[in-house]
Amino acid sequence: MAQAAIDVRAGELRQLVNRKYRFIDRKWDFMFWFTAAFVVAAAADITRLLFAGDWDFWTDWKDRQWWMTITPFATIIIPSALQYIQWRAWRMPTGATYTATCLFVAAWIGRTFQWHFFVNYPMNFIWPATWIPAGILIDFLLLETRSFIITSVIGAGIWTIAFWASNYIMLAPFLQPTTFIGHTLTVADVQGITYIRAQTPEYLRVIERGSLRTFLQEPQYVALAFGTTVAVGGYWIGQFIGRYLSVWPIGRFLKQI
Amino acid sequence: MKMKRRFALSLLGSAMALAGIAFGSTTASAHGERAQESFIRMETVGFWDTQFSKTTVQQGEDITLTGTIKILETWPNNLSNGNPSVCYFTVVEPGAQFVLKDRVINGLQAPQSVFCHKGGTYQYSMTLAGRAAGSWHVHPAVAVEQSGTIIGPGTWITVNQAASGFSYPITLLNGQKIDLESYGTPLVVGFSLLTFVLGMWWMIHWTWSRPTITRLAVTNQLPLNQDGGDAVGLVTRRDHRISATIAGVTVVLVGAGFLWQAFAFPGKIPQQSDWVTPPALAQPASTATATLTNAIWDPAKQIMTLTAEVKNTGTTPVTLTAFRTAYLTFVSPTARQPESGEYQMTVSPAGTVDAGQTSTFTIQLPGSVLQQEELVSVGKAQMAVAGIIELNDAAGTRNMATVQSSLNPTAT
Repeated sequence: MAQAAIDVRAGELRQLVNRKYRFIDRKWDFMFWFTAAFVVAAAADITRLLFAGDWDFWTDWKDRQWWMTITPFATIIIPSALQYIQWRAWRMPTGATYTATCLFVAAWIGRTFQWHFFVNYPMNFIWPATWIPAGILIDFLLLETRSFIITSVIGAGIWTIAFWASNYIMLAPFLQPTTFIGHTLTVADVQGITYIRAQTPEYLRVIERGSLRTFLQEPQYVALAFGTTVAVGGYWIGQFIGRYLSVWPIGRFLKQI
Repeated sequence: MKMKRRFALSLLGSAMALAGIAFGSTTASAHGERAQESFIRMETVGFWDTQFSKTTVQQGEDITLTGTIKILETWPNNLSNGNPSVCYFTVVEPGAQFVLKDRVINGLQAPQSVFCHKGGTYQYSMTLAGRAAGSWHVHPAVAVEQSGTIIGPGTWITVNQAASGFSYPITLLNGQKIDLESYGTPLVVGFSLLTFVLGMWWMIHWTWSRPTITRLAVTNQLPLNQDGGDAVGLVTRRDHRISATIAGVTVVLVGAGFLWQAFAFPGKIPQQSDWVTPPALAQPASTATATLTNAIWDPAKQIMTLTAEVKNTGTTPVTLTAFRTAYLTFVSPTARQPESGEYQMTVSPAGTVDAGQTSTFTIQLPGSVLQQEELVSVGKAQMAVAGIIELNDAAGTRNMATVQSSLNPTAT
């Protein structure tokens, strides 16, 4: 008897899902996703630039200690907020991938026009990192677990590792050694010296300069662990934005009208 | 129809506005040096003997910038805690119109930052090559940690288009020759695009033909950690299958790519931190010293008057030949005529200081130049004049005396 009631209820909801729009066109859905892309890309880009600007900008800043510690934290905030909003509203596990994809397009347009065409830096020096693989994987995790707590704890680790692994593939050729001005440097270092950044002197780079805080003399393991930990914090900052700065005020407003 | 026309018009307007911004803008040639407070430019670093080996080059052709800088003893306490210790010798130019190929500081090759100190004198040589065709304003500069970039005297350099364009070949330690201009670009663009395709696959699967409004009406009736499964149809078994496929392809792509790079690029090293300490520059024994005892700014006559006391500690007469401040050089007419980019000052009484003697000179600097360069600090928090007085003796010894005085206006 109880099962029958549940089935009826599910059937009603199913009908509601597929009900045709009455007052607006279905193009609304496309327009929504399209116009929101600008806002999401801007929010993600601002957050990234605010916390991890130069690390994600130049190859000679993309190091194995600070880049992978700071950037996952900075870049998980908006995906997390969008994950909550889109899951809460539509049960779509798309927040992280949507943010990463919007940011991808915005970042490539920005780098190409502002930095390559206008001030002439080569693209192989200023390419933006990609978060799309990391976004897909944590969206998939949310889909399968339907839990923001599990997604925050395990997903932050996946986000950090996937970010590092996917971008390291592109960074690898720039970490090959060469001799330049009488010193052994990486290709990335050479780019940083060769392509003059008048207001970004080399000493400003916050990169690995040797530390006691290593594991088996390799700082990236410590950085991965720490990056994951701070990314959990970043995830919950995003959840706060999604829950209390977006969904809750909108809900309150709708109740008032 | 009206809507379509409005949409087309707004699209056209946006495109025209973007085109206006893109093609109507001109390249900035100044570098904001006048925006720096005068005390920063006068009291921090002195530049002299700045030379550009050429002012017209082809793309790829070398130019050498040489000169000397001194981190002045008058370095202010509110910059780098009064103790500059890390410097980066560079050039200031608009964007990456040149490439820097070599940098030597006091005879030592210095690819990155160098350790420096107050009172230190550094002879630099920087080799550039023209990269982008055009006429570009170029300055030598020294950036100091916790202070900023201090700009030296600049000049215009014209880079002419070369038939073969510009390339920048370097050789890796494994012997592979690469062009730095394009190396790695296909990998970066190609891999990024692959991830974009995956992202779009995910997004299209999850958003195509899925209503946002009616789904919201349903999700409002479900707990946050439930999706209703196949029965409700928000998330179906097919969705799980396709999502798992995309996630699987993502893992395979990243995993395979990671393995591939390990084999394709063996012997990688992390970015290098390679700071060096340049050796001290051999200096001739000082044969004269100078101090400023007063500096007066007369706004009515537009003249800066300095009173300098010069003491000859050597064995031959010395002559006051020049005063340098910020990126400006003022030359005494009794010493030589100003060269391009230099200005004339008056020194009275004209003449020399005999061995063992001390003389007081009145130096008058043209106020128009100082005002144009925003170097008259009247009305600022630090009203001062500082720079380097050059004193030459008969044997050719150049004494570079750092001087400083408070600035006293005749009126405010």
